[in-house]
Amino acid sequence: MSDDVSTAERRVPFAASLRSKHRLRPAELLPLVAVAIVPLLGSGYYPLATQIAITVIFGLSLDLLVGYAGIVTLGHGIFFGVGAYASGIASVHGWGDPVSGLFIGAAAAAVVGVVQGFVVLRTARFTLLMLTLCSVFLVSEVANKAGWLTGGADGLTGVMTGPLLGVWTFDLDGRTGYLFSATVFVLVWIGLRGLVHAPFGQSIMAIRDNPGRAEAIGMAVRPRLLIVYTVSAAIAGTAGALQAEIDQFAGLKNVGFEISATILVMLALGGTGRLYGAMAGPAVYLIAQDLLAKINPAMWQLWLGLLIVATVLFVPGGLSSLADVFRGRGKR
Amino acid sequence: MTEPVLELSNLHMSFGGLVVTNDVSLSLAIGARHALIGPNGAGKTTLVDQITGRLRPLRGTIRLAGVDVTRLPQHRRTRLGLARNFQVTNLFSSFSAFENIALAVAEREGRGLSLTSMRGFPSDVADQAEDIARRMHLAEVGHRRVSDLAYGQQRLVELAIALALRPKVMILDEPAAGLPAGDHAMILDALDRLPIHVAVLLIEHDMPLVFRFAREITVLAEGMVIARGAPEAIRGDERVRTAYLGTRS
Ligand SMILES: Nc1ncnc2c1ncn2[C@@H]1O[C@H](COP(=O)(O)OP(=O)(O)OP(=O)(O)O)[C@@H](O)[C@H]1O
Ligand SMILES: [Mg+2]
Repeated sequence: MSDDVSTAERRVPFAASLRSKHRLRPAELLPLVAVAIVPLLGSGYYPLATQIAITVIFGLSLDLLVGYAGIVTLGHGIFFGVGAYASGIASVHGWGDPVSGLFIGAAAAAVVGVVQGFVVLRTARFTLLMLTLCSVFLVSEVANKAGWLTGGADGLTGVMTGPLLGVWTFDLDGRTGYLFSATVFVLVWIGLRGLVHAPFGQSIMAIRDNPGRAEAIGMAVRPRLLIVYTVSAAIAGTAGALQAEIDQFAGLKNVGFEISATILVMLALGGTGRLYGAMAGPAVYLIAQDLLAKINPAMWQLWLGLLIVATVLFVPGGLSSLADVFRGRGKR
Repeated sequence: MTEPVLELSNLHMSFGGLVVTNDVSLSLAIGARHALIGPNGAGKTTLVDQITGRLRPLRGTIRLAGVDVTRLPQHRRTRLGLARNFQVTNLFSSFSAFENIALAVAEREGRGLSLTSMRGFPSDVADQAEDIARRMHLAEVGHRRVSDLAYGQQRLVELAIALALRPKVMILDEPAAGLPAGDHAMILDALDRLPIHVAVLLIEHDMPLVFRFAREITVLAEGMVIARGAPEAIRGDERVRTAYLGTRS
């Protein structure tokens, strides 16, 4: 660092430097621009854009764990699936209101999150990874066997999503579904952005850096991680509930290992610990998948795999870390 | 005579067959300046880990400000007024020096779960952190990530974090460890300016630093207290000389 930089640093009070570090940057509004552009593209893009919005919400919930709390999990699909089944089951039993359905999904996932988190957060790293993996197999198997509740391998049929706020029906062209999903995404983004920039978020990152040190400055580390884990589960449950409401279906594909691993890959593609990676990753993945499947229906998975491997090799911090390169700051 | 603010009674601890703490008792009064010395491997850091709760003693009790904390987890002891630094620098590496201190301030104020500010830390927490940094001569480098700081400055951040917790008892495990002798003055200066009512237990190998700082010294060897007293008495103690000369040049 050059001398004039450090003299410049000296004059900036800490409170002022915090204001600039945590300020809203113009580039952070790009996702909002993207959300606003979709309706201009014509109704053909609603299904893809809706799927991206849902997956981004799910990805954001995972970034809170992986990127901010340093908890790498292979079982996050559990919460997505529990959210999907909970809102789906409520709908089958006559509660098809989409907004309260999201809260039902979030609450169910939060309950599962508290219980499972209480167990797995007693461990760390590899053991934790194994436990989350075991949990996902366990929950998939329960969903498969409890056919009377979940429809088993056939999935949950008869899900009926009522009109949004009693006014807008989920029509065939997907406009209502898109606007609903995009609104939920924006709300989740605002909430999570607030959380990670608050003292609470800072303390979570401190635990990620150095849990032993965090304990020594008086943090109750495990309870605090459990809170984050539960918040993350609730957001993943919201995403799952949204998926079930849009699809008017919930099935084993919403809950298993595959969705848990895929979201982790998408997050790695976008980059962790900055929220925007959780937006870029799923968006690029799903758009590439869509394009490649049209161009080369037989081999699209191969091309997608190559794209991911290339990104990880050449941009190890994920796509969102390219923002630092443009700002000339190098690695964060 | 007031009640001691930290009181260890008959602590025992061993790793497998190796006894590292053997019937250690120690008490610190308010404002104490106590040094714990002893050759490498004497069990000093292990003792600190028991006091702070990273390790559980096999037997014995630890009382902090009159409360039996022997079975309390680490963070509860910190909240009761116990702060420490680490012999090997142990900081929040992706944060700046200011932020490291602010994290401690926020926890001490019970605002670690707060969602009210969206600027990392509320401005009063930031101001306090900056103030402590200034006292530790860190104001000019406070914006830098701690991993980019010189080692001596990292040692000062360790002390600043301990100060930010406004402890009743401060345990400093070799605050000058790893620093060239020329930088010891910086640490000693920081030690001299610790608040007078805080009881300090200093672990240090640098004897000039110990004799300048301490009003009472306890000598530990192979897990046992072999001598205790005023610095002048310890300086002349024959057993202390043998313990040191036997294992250290
Ligand atoms: N986790 C552990 N498991 C086994 N033995 C340990 C462990 N930690 C420390 N020891 C041993 O316990 C003894 C005391 O170690 P300790 O670190 O407390 O010494 P110390 O007095 O702090 O020494 P130094 O002056 O070198 O810092 C040493 O023999 C050490 O090898
Ligand atoms: Mg030691």
